[in-house]
Amino acid sequence: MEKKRKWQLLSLCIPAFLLIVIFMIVPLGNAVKVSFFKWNGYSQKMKWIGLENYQSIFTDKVFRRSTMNTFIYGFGSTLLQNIAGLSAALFVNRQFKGRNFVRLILYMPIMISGVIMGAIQYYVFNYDNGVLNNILNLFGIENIYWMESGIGSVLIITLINSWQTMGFCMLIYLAGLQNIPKMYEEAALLDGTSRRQIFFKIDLPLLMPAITTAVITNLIGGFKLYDLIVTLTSGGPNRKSLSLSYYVSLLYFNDEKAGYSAAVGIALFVIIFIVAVPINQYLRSREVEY
Amino acid sequence: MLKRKWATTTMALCLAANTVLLAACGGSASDQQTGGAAADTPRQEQTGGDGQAAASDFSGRTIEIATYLSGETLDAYKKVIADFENETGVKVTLDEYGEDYESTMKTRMASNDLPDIFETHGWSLIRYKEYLTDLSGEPWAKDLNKAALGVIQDTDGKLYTLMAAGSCLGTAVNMKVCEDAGVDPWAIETWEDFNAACDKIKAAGFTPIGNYFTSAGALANANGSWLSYEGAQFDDNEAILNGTWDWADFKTILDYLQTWFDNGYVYADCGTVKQADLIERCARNECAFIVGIGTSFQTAVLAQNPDAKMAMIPICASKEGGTRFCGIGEGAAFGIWKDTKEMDVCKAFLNYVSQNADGISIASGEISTLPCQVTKSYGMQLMEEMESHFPDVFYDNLWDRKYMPSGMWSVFQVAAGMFCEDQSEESKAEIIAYLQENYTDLYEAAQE
Repeated sequence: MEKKRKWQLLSLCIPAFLLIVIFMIVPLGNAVKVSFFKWNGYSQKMKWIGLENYQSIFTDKVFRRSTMNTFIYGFGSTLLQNIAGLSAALFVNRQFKGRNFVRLILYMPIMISGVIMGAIQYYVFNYDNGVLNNILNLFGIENIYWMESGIGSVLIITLINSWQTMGFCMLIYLAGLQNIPKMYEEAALLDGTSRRQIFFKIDLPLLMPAITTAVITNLIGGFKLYDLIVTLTSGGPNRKSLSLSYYVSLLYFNDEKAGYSAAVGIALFVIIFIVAVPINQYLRSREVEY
Repeated sequence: MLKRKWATTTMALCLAANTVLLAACGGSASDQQTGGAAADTPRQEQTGGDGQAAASDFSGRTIEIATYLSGETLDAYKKVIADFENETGVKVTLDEYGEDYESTMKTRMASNDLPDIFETHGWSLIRYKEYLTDLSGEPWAKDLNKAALGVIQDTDGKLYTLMAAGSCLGTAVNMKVCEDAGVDPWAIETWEDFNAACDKIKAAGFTPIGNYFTSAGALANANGSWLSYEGAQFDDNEAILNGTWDWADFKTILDYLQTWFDNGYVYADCGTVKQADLIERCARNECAFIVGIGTSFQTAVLAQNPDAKMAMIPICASKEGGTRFCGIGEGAAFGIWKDTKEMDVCKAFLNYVSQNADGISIASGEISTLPCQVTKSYGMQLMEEMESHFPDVFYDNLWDRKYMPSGMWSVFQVAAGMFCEDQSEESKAEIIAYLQENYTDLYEAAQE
């Protein structure tokens, strides 16, 4: 009976398993295959070149720069989103008039697609007639070319991405905060514990499951950042604000280097795996039962 | 217990339904394929190659058309499609891919599953030929003008696309800015003259050149005047075409382009600005020239500012007496997938387009290629005005489409970004090495 039930439960996984095979395992296998070929991405002819595409990765300056950018987008956004998200959650967890409205406002940016957000922000940071420069002009300040350098563009993208997805973090932390039983706080207050101590000694440790979820989700989201960059900077200036995801797409569709694009895609997969798994394990080890 | 059993049964039923659904999806696809194979025996024999004669027999047939057109040009194209549907009973499925057109088409080529009709946007010979039907025997083929044939006819005389409108690429001129700065653009012959005009324009407080280095245009579209045409600085055509070119002469072009930066002719944000912004700036009469751009640019400027006074001059000669030229590219150009099951309907459709291309040509602001185009598009007017001043203008295919392997446009785009950021000698050497490496690579790939 028990065995039968086990099989019944296992069978429930079949649809999910099939979807993973069809949409993840098969394409991944295909990408691995393509990465050993020289191929323009559309011709019926492919040329076997072994590990050449992987060797090229080590001498590719754009790959190095894009990897660095990807780390900035990943870690930078994660840090900012979590600090801002947690602060916002603590704020809207309190009782005050218009709380629901504030929650809605803070959550709203994430409802806008990255493509649209990028297009909007392009007109904010634009050199000529950009909203920000127009405001500066009112105070007699000359136009600033915000996206002149690669690092400027990367920082602007990181900031916008952090602001946009901060609402998601806020939601996770809000759920976490509301799950913490009030008795711990009340007991601590009776013992004369300060608010600051309550936050660091009670709230934060008990929020670890929420932190794990928020950090890993944001980290992977940051590593895969694509749509915002496409419409905001198109990877420029001079491909200096590219993320690896966008670089993969450019290599395949613009540069007609599908084989190399697949190799870079595999490298991205490995990077995300190497970074996300240990962080996930570390954060899980810090979680406490209550 | 009973409740649990009921739940288990429900879940089992759901799973079964899921499996059936998945199987049904797979089944229908294969059914379509096998059924389709039997039913879709090419019908050309039934109706003949012309297609037009059998137009009334097409009821119930369906074709898929992919397009990258947008705005008014797309509206004009849709009207032609709707009229064709009404007259023939054909059902047209129109895929509007917009900016994703190229990437989607590359994916579809990779899977060898293309739309029945698709646009070739300048790549009928270099990129799409492998997947296209030869259309040289079609009734409209002999009506295409020389400008069109020079661009789309293969060396063996085959034609793979109906070029319903052509793109004429020269130097866009804002006449108002030129007048205010006291510059006569019709007197410009060489790049030296061009720079002298730019100096005057700059002194008058305008931006002389609106070219943007987020596009490959600045580094790719004017190369013919330096490297390829009569009286050019160099005569590198043979080496370029046989893959032995060493790119050393390209440094002269970079040296010249450097004067644009050194003299402050270009916008400070030319490395990140988008075309839409430049259209706006030109419509506000802020800049004078955009080198190597199609007439659709002037059309877009006019749409923003109907009072704007725009013109087109050829791309300058690299030295006195040299050729001044304009590039002719495929504008709205339509090809037929060689493996389409609806060949006769597709040919009938192209025939119909060839007889009703006027609207498309006018909406796009590009140039006419067919005798049916009796209304002069804005692009055609600009071209004729230019010819009245420069009767000896030379027309050739877009330089990269004729002389470079497929994939080089994007390489030039990257190089343009590199150049915009740094015009030092080291950077130029790096750019040339980058161009050479990719050219060799893509050339070899094209030969395989």
